[in-house]
Amino acid sequence: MKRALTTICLVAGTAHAGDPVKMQEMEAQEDKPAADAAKPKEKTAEEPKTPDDPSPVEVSGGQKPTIELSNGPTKARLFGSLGPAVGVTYAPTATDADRLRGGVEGSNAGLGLHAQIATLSGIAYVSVTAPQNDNSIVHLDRATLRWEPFKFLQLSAGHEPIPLDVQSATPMAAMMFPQALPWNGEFAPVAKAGAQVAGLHEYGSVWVGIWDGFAPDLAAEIIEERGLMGSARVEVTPLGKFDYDENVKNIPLRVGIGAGVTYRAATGYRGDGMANRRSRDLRAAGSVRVGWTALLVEVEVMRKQITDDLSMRPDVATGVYGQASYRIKLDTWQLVPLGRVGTYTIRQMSAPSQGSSAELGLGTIPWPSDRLRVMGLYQYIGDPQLGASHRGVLQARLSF
Amino acid sequence: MKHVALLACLAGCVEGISPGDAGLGRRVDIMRGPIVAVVPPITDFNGDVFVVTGTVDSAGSVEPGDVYMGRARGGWGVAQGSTGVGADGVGRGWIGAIEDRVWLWTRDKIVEYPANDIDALGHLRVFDRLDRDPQSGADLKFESVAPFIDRTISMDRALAIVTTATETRPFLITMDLGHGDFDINQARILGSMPIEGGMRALGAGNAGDCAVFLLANDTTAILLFVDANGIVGQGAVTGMPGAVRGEIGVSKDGTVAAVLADGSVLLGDRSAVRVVPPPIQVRGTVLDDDHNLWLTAIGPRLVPVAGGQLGVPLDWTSAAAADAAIQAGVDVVDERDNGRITLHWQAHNVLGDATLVSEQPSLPYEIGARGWLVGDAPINQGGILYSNVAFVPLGVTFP
Repeated sequence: MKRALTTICLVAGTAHAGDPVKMQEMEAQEDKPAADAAKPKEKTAEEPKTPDDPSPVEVSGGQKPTIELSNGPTKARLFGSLGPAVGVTYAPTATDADRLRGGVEGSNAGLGLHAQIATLSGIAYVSVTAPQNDNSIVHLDRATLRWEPFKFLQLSAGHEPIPLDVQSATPMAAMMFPQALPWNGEFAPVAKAGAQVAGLHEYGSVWVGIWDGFAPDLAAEIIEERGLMGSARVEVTPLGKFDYDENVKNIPLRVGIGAGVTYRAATGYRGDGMANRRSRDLRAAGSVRVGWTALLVEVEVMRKQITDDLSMRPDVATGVYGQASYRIKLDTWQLVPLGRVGTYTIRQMSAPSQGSSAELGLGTIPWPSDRLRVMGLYQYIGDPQLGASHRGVLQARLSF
Repeated sequence: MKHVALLACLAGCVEGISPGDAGLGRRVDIMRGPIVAVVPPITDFNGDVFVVTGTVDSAGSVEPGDVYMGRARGGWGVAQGSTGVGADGVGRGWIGAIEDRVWLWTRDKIVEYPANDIDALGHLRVFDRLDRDPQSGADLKFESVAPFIDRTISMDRALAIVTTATETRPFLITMDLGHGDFDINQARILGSMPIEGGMRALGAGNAGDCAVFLLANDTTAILLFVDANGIVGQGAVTGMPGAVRGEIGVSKDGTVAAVLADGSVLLGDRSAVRVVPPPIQVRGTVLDDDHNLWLTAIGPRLVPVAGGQLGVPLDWTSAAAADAAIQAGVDVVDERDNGRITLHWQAHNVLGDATLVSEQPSLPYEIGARGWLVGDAPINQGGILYSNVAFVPLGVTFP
């Protein structure tokens, strides 16, 4: 079979590894098509995105691919990131052995693939995090097939985060923070797979989905729970399109006012197949995001309430957080102060307990291309049950 | 935005059991006696229900029993005879609960009941803790264990007063409650402190941020406030108290009260308490959802305790209504044979002295509801009464 690879781009070579001057030169060039690579061009990281060259923020954080293969209407792009990190945790209430602990828990690596044939595309992003209890964690962030018959309509199917809240809707690859909100898992639903329809417009977007396999946490139980979950999210952007991307830079004023909801009616089955319990799981979130030049501010409220007809004991939780980040441009490099504070209450109807978190960080992006960033982050985590802990993390992230 | 407002309203409108109503009951088992338990059921944070039985015999003594666990997601497990044997094997009280497990204490040992460890036959796995001193091998006797769990990232700790066969002095010990991940041979006593002066433990309670013990010898008594790191406070005692019935109660304003074996009341604050006669015959202490302290009495009645003083006795109308509700009829789910059949029982109280009244305090099931045990119409077999017993959450408020 004759295969014609009309374009092959390989940018991240090993020959110049460790040479910052060469690396900067390479990164200044990697944003150009290969055919134009030899032509001198002003070094910039703020190249406008053209409609025929979309950067899939889900797998690259909006950056252009290191490897791109194309054959007529077929394109394949490969992205990756390496994020070694060191962290120290101080837990004042812990025993001597656990009070001060250090390690590489914040380290991670990611690999993303975007393939496209005309209006059909596939996206996959996998991350691996550093060992905890001797086991590394491989996390499939998303693996979806997407059909975009019109510019304003997307249909997708596969595994991806359910866009209930901004934290879930923001792709892992597009986060400026080293990780999502520490307690987001208390509210964010998880599904094995599902299908979603998205209506996209300059001034607002709608996502409606149906999902299966809602993180049941039933590993040790003899009860099986089944039930589909529906989700919907509406984001109004009155000043123009505003992606879920924490890496904002040089954007005009953008506002996103969003609301999300998921609902799942499930039935529990005993070993002999008899139904014994019905549950209703409702989660909701409301958010406001503001972006302007290099500033991003987000505030969000989240709510969870699960009821069932056996225990009759509602599981209710509410949380709120706000986060902000800003890029200070200094010649060719940037400083990025960022911060996030939040509080949440769990078991509001049975045994209320309050938790909180505060994160304050300072990062630097030494090269205009954003491909390397070094982030120092202080985290205060007030666990509702186990008390406070303080954590310092230093992470370098290289995207390629 | 209208829909967002509607959603927000719906999200904020989860209702629990109304005061005076009975929630959905869950059948536990057939049990012997008109009173099948003296320790009210406890619920872990996930909503799993734990019931410890202890039939009161004709002499008024409590017998050792079984522990049942009803999962929030359905199904029951039982640990038969897990509390022990003889008088020292009677379940004295719950130490507390965390997300998925609870701990019970008897005079012989500490027992851990995890909710997620149940086999296909419905046997609930249990972990016996500290029936012997791990160092000396001496038999431990728990004189008093505080219903208080000190949680940290490292471990869950509890405090107890113990005696051993080889030592005349009692010891205040801090123990690691474990998490089902080690057996009795590896159980840990994290620290111990001998109690001098011939003092013995008369009772214990939960002061919110620490445990409290009442200690006394023939001439002196003290109130000792202790956390897992040591003694944090001490209160003087005026008068000579007897043993505590149930638990020492400590309210959010620091008021301390306990019902004593002779019916008198220990009353005061964290710095000083005294023995006083109660205005009515009281049975035990109970904290409401806002951590206000009350004394319970048959009627049902309540005596408010605040500012170190006893208030005027009040009728406990929601408890009376709940008692009437279970007698009028309560829906009970029978989950035997992996099924789910809903029955309607005209039920009656089978726990403590009366509905929601006992020496041990009723424990919250959810905000505004307490877990309790009821029985259906008893069957007389050879002069012995047997009842189907169910766990029922009862909606209750405090005046």
